Amino acid sequence: MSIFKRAFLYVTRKRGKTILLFAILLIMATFVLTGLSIWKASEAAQLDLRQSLGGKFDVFVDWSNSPYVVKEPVKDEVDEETGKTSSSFLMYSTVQFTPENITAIKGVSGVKYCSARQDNLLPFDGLSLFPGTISTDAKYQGYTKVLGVCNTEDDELFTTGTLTLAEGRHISDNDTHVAIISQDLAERNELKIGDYLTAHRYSVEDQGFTGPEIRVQIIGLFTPHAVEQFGETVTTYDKIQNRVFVDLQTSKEFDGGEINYGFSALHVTIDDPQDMARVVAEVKALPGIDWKAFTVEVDNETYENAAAPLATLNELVVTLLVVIIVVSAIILALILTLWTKTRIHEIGVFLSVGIRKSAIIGQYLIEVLLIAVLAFGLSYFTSNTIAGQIGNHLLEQSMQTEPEDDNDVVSVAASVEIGADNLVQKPLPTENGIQVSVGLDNFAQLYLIGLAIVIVAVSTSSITVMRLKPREILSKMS
Amino acid sequence: MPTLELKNVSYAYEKGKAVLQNVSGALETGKMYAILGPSGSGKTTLLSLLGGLDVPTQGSVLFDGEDITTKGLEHHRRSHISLIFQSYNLIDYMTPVENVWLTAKLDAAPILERLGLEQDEITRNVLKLSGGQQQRVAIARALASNAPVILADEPTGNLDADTAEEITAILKESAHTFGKCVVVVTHSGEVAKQADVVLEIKRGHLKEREM
Ligand SMILES: Nc1ncnc2c1ncn2[C@@H]1O[C@H](COP(=O)(O)OP(=O)(O)OP(=O)(O)O)[C@@H](O)[C@H]1O
Ligand SMILES: [Mg+2]
Repeated sequence: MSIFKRAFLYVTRKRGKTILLFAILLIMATFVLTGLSIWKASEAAQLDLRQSLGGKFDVFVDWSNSPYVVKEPVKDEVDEETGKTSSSFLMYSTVQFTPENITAIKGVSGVKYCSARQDNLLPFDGLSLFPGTISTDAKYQGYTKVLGVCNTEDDELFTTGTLTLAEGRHISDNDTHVAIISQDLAERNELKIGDYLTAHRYSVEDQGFTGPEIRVQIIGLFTPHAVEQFGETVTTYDKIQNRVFVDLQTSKEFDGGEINYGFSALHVTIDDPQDMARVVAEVKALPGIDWKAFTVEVDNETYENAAAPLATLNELVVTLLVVIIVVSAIILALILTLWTKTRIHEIGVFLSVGIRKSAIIGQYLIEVLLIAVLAFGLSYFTSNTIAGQIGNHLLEQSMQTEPEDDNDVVSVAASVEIGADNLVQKPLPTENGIQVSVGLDNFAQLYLIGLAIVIVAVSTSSITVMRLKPREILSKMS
Repeated sequence: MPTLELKNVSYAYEKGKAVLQNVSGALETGKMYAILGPSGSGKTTLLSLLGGLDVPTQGSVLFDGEDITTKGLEHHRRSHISLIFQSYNLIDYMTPVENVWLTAKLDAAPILERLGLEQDEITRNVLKLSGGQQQRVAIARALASNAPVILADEPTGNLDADTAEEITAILKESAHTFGKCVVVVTHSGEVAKQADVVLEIKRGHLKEREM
C-alpha cells in the first residue's frame, strides 16, 4: 500500500482528529496570512510615504571652517543720511561646486535631482516689473532676482511643480545667453520666445550693474502654480512673476568678477529618505569635491516624524508575526507529539511489515499537509475578512497615538520655503488610510511558512518514531 | 533443509546476566513450533533474535544457511518474517482487507473468508471486530505475504479458550497447508499440544520436549 493511500485513509477515517487539526491549521493560517497582509500593507504605505516625502539635503560652503574662504574688504561706504562710514567685506570661497560636480552627484544612485543656483539682483533695461506689496530700498527698484542654473528642469521650483514651463524649452547645461521668464512678465512687456532682454555686467568701480551690455534670448515661459496670496508681503524682486532664470555662463557674466565661477551651495533631492545616510556617504566619497571646503546639512526630520507611527506599526506587525509563527509551530508540535505517542502500536505494525521509519514519518507529514492545503486555502477567505478590519484598526491606533506629530508633519511639509517661494506640496498618502488585502504573494508566503511550520512540528513529533528500536517492538505490543 | 537456524546463540541485556546461553537449534518450514517457558525466561528475547529485531551477543542466526546480518536485518524482517503479536496487530483506520494489503496487493477476501470472517466483516472497522477475529486478520496478513516464517508472541494470550483453540488450529493450518514455518511463544499447554515440536527455555537453555 502506498504512503499516499495510507495517509489518505488516516485523514478520511480519523475524522475527529482531521477536523480538529483542520481547525487548528485554519486559525494558524488565518493569523499568519492576516499578519502577512498587514505587514505588506504597512510596508507599502511606508514606501509610499517615503517616496512622496522624498528626502533633501544641502551641501554648501563651510563658511566658518573652510580654509578656502577669503574675506576681502571692499571700499568703504559713507551713509549719506547718517554720515557714518561702514566698511563691508566680500566673502567668498575659492573652491566652489562646478557643473561637473553636479553631474557627478546626479549620477549617485538614489539621487533624484541636484540643483544649484547663483543668484543676483539686477535690473534689465526697460523691463516693466510687477510691483511688490512692500517697498524696498530705492537702490533696488527695477531690480529682480535672477537665478543662474545649469538647467531649469532640475530646479526645485520646477521639480515641485511650483512653476511649470508653459511654452518653449528648459535651459540645459550647454546653453549660453538664454533666459526663461514668466508668461505674465512676457505679456506685460509684450515679449515672446526668441526676443532678447538686455542687462549689464556688474562694475566694482560703480558698485552697480553699469558694465558692458549682456543680451539674453528668451527660450521659455513659465507659469506659477500660485502667486502670493492677498495680504501677503512680498518685495518686487521676490515676486514670482518677476523671476528670471538664466544659464550659469550668463550669470557669471552678470556677476562680473572671476570670483564666482561655480556654486557655493547645492540642493539634493533623493527618492527615498530612508537611503539618506547611504546617499550622503556616497556623495561624500565622490572624487573631485574637496570636502575641506564644504559641509552637508541633512533635513530628514519631516520623514522621521511622518514615518515613526508607521514604522512602529510595522515593527509591531513583524513581532506579532514571528510570535504567531513560533507559537503555531510549538502548539502543532505538541499536539502531533501527543498524537504520535498514541500511534505507537501502529508504528510497531508498520515496522514489523517492513515499512521504513522514513516512510512512516513521511506518511505523517503527508497527512498534515493534506489537511493544511485545504485549511490554508480556506484561510484566504477568513483572513480577507479579518485583515481589513484589524489593519484599519491598527493603523487608526498608530495614527491616533501621535496626532499632534502628524499635524506637525503636514504643516512642516506644507511650508518649506526658499525665499518667498512657497513650494507646492503633495498631500501625504497616509491621510487616505492603509488598504489591507490578502494578495497572491501573501498566499504563497503562507504556504512556504506553513510548510516550514508543519515540517518542524512533524519532525519534532517524530522523535517517538525515531527512538523506537526494533527490539522494543515485541515488548511494546503486548 | 532448515529455514531458520540458531548457532551457539547467547544473549544478555546486561553484562553477566545471560538470558540465553549457547542456544542452538533449527526450525523448518511446514512445521509449527511452540516455545514454552516461565515468565522472564527469555521467550520474547528468542523471538526477537529469530525475527532480526536484535542481534545475539554471541553466535549467529541463519536463514537458509546464510547469516541474517549478511543481507541486513531489515531485509530479513521484510522478506522472511511475519510477526503476530498478542494484540494491536491491526491498523485501526484500515479495514481487514486493507490490513492484508499492507503486505501483499492481492484479492484479500478469499483468504479472510477462508480464515472464518464473514462477508460484511472483511470491510468493517477493525475495532468493531472481536479479539479472535482480529487475530484471524493478522494471520491472514502473514499468510498473504511471501515471508516463509511466522513468529507469534502469545497470539492467544488475550483470547478465551474456545477462540484460542480456533486460532491455534489456523496457525497449525498455516504450517501444514500453507507451508509456513510457524513459531508460537505460549504459556498454554493446549497450544503446545497442537505443535509439531515443543521447545522449552529453562535457565537460558533451549530444550526440545519429548511428547
Ligand atoms: N529491554 C530489556 N532490558 C533489560 N532486561 C530485559 C529487557 N527485556 C527483557 N529483559 C529481561 O530479560 C529476561 C527475558 O525477558 P523476556 O521478555 O524474553 O521473557 P519472556 O520469556 O518473554 O517472559 P514473559 O513470558 O513474561 O513474556 C527477563 O528477565 C527480563 O527482565
Ligand atoms: Mg514475552
